Amino acid sequence: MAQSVTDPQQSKSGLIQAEHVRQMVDDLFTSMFDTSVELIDGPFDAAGPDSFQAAIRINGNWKAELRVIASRGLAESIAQSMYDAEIEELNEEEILDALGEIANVIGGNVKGIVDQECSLSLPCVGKLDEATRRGDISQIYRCFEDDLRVSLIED
Amino acid sequence: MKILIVDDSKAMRMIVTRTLKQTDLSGYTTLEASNGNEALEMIDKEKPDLVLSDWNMPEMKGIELLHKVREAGNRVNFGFVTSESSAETRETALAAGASFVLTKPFTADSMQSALEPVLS
Repeated sequence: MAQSVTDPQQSKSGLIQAEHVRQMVDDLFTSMFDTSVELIDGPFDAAGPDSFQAAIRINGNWKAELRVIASRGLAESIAQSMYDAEIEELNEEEILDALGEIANVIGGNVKGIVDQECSLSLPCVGKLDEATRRGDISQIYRCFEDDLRVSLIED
Repeated sequence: MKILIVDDSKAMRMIVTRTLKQTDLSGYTTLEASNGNEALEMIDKEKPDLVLSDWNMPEMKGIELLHKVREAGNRVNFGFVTSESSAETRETALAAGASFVLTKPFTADSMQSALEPVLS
């Protein structure tokens, strides 16, 4: 079932609110891509065998995973914008690296808000895992004319 | 003036370089290293005026890189460009001798504000 953007989502401990994540994603796309994103109601249609995911873990006194999922097309658009290059000039490793940085920036910002003794993992990137959980906070953004899912799952 | 950008992410090295170009800073050239060991070699060989390093990197974290640079007696200006925005990170960085911590995502304005006092 689609989750409304007005649902009061938060992480299990209540330390991270949906609005925190929305602000981080908004700042990220405005600063790094000079473009705006729109938080939309689901369903998330971009998940498929060609989709990519990037995840980053926060470990320590507070544990969580931040995950972003994008269609191949969106991941390519993000990479093109980051590298300022045509898609023919980019390989899959570079495309995944770009998506990994999206997870890294949001994950680092989440860690900053939690402000407990924690460490941030390196981004883990690859093809979409079918068993992906939806998350305590699960948001869908319209960006580059495609949909991006951002999920936060606290352990 | 030479600025060494250290980040394991090629995408982020590109963004840092591009954002530098969008500032009013001028008269510099950029160098890149994709890990701490490569950075140590370039610091020794190229003698940059400023090192802009990521915090969270495989093999050698940015803070370890800074410790090694200072242990070698090198006082090069050193700043972090990182998504690690916690107070603990900032305190650790400054205590180790970093001049600033610039949090991702950053803008040309925030980058200029961080770098200008160091480069002037």
